[in-house]
Amino acid sequence: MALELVGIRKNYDRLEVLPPLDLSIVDGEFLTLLGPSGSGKTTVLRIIGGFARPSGGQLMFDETDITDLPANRRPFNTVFQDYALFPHMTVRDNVGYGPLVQRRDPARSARLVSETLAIVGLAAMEQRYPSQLSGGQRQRVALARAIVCEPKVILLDEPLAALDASLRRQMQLFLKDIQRQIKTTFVFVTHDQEEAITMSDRIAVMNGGRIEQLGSPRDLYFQPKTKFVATFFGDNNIVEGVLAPGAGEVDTPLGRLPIDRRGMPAIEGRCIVAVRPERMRIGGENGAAIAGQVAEVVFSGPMTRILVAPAAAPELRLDVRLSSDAGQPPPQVGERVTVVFDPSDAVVVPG
Amino acid sequence: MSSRGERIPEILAGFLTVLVLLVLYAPVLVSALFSVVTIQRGTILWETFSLSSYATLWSNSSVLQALANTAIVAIASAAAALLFGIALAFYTRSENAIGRRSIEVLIYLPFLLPPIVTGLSLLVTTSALGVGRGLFTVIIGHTIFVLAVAYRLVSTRLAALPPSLLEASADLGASRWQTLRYVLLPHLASSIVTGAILALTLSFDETLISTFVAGDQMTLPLRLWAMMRVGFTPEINALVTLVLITSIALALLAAWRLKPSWSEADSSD
Ligand SMILES: Nc1ncnc2c1ncn2[C@@H]1O[C@H](COP(=O)(O)OP(=O)(O)OP(=O)(O)O)[C@@H](O)[C@H]1O
Ligand SMILES: [Mg+2]
Repeated sequence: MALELVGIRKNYDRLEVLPPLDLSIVDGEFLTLLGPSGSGKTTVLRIIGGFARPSGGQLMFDETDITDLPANRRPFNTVFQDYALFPHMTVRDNVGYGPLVQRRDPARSARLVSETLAIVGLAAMEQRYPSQLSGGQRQRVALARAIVCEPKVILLDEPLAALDASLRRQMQLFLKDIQRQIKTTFVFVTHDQEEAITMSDRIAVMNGGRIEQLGSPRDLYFQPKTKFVATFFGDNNIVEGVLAPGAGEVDTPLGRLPIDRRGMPAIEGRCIVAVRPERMRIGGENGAAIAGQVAEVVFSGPMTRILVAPAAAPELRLDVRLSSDAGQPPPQVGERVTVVFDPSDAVVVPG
Repeated sequence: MSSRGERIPEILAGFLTVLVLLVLYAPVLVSALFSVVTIQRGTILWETFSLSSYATLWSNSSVLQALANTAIVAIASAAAALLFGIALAFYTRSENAIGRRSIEVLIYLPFLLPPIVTGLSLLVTTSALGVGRGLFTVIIGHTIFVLAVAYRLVSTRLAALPPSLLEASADLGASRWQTLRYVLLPHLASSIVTGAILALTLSFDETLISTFVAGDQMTLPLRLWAMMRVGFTPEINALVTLVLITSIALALLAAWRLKPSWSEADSSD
C-alpha cells in the first residue's frame, strides 16, 4: 500500500465537508476521484498534497505518517486546474524549477528537463513564455513540471476541464500513455464519468464527502452498489420496487420483474432495479418482458435509441439501445412492442 | 453653417488647452531662459548667452552639499518605504491578517493629510525626545510620506498574484525563502521599480516636512528657498531649471511605467 488515508476528516468552521474517510491508493495505479460539484474531491486532493490540513485522521505513505509534513517536503506533485505556471519564466525554467529549488545536480537536471520536454512534445518551445502557449501546451508544461521531479504520486485536479472536447480526448489518451511510461501513481479528479471510465484503473465515486463505491470502471458500471452510483455512472433504466425476503421477483410499477439473486447482497424491502439500455432488447424469448408503446426513435450512427412508454406506467420511459442495422429498420413510433431483458442483467440496490 | 456652429465648442476647448499649457509651462520656460541670457526692459539680449550661471552653481559648495543631501534623503527614504511597504503588503495580504483596513488607513493618512501635520508632529516628537534634527529626521519624515505610494503599488500587485502560484512553488519543493526569491519578488519587480521612481520624485522636491525637521541641514529645495530670500540671481534660475528638469523626467518615467499596458507586457516577459 503506497498511500493511505485513515479516517481523514475536514471541517470548515462548523461545516463538515469530509466525514471520516478511508482510502488506500495502490502503488502505480491510476485512481480517479469522481463526483458531482461540491462532493469534496478537491478537498481530498489538497489534503494529500499538503495544501489543506485535515481536521482529523492520518495520512500514511509507505507506512510513515506524513500528516504533518509540509507540502514542499512531500514526494508528491500537483498539476493544478489553472496550471499555475510561473508567467515570468520560460517553459524550460518552469520545468526546471523543481530540480532547482531541490538543489539537484545541475548537469543531471538539465538533461532530465530536456528529456521530459521531449516526452511531452515541447522541446521546440522551451524558450517560450507561458503566455505564448495554447491551452493544451500549457497543460503539458504543467505535467512536465510535475513529472520532472520524479514524484511518487502525481495529483491532478480536473486538469482537462479548460480544454475543448477534441483536445480533451487527445489529452486523456496522452495522460494515460505517460502514466504507463513512468509507472507513477496518478490521483486524478474529474466530474466527467466518461473521462473517469476511459482513464482509470480504479474509480472512487464521491458524494457529499463520502466514497459511495470504489472499484474498477467495469465493477462500477455493471455492479453499482448504491442508487447514487447506479444513476450517476452511465445511463441506466431505473425503477423503484419492493423485494420480499428471499424472493426472486421485485414488485414494481412495471409489474413483477424476475431478478437473479446469485452474487447479489442480501437485500429486502424497498429497492431499485437498474438495467443498462444496451442490455435491453425489443421482442424475443426468455427473460423479463415489459409491454409498451414506442414513444421516440433516435438514430445516432452505430446505435439507435428507442424510448418505450410501458403500458403499466406510461409516464415512465424505458431506454433501449439497439445496434443500428441497415437491413432491418427499427420499430416505428406508436408501435406496440415488448421490451425484454435477461434477469441476470438486472442490478438490485437498496432504495 | 451648422457644421461651423458645432465646431465652436471644439475650437474653444483647443484654445483653453493652449492657454492652460501656456500658464503651466511659460514660467518654466522663462526661468530656463533667464538662466542662460540676460533680459533688459522686456527684450532678450541674446549676445549675453552663457552657461556661466550653471558653472557658478557647480562651484557653489553649499548647493552641491544640498544636492548630495537631497540624493541621500531620496534614496534612503525610497528604500526604507519600499522595504516597509513590501513587508506591510505581505502582512495585510496574508490570509489571517488582523485589522487590514485600519492598517491601510494608517498607511495612507500621512499622504492625504497636509504635510504640515506630519512635519509639525515630527518636530514636536523629536524635541520632546531630545533627538537632534538633521538628515536622519528628514529621512524619517519622507519615509512616512512616501510609504503610502510604495505600499499601494506593491499591495495591488501582490493581490493580482494567483495563490496557486505560491502553492505550485511549495509543491515543487521550494522553501518560503526560495518562493520569495524566485516567484514573489520577480512578480513584484515592476511595482517595486515604479514605486522607487515615484518615491524618489516625491522626496526630491518635498519642502514642507523638510522645513520642520531638517535642523541646520539643507536639501535642494531648502537651499533654493534660502537663496531666494537674498535676491534673484541667474544662479537661482539655473537651480530652478535643474530641479524642474529632474522632477519632470522622474514624473514622466513614473507615468510611463504606470500605463496599464506596461503591467500586461511585464507579465509575459
Ligand atoms: N475554504 C473553504 N471554506 C468553506 N467551505 C469550503 C472551502 N473549500 C471548500 N469548501 C466546501 O467544501 C465542499 C467540498 O468542496 P470541494 O472543492 O472539495 O468540492 P469538489 O468536489 O472539488 O467540487 P468541484 O467539482 O466543484 O470542484 C463544498 O461544499 C465547498 O463549498
Ligand atoms: Mg474541485
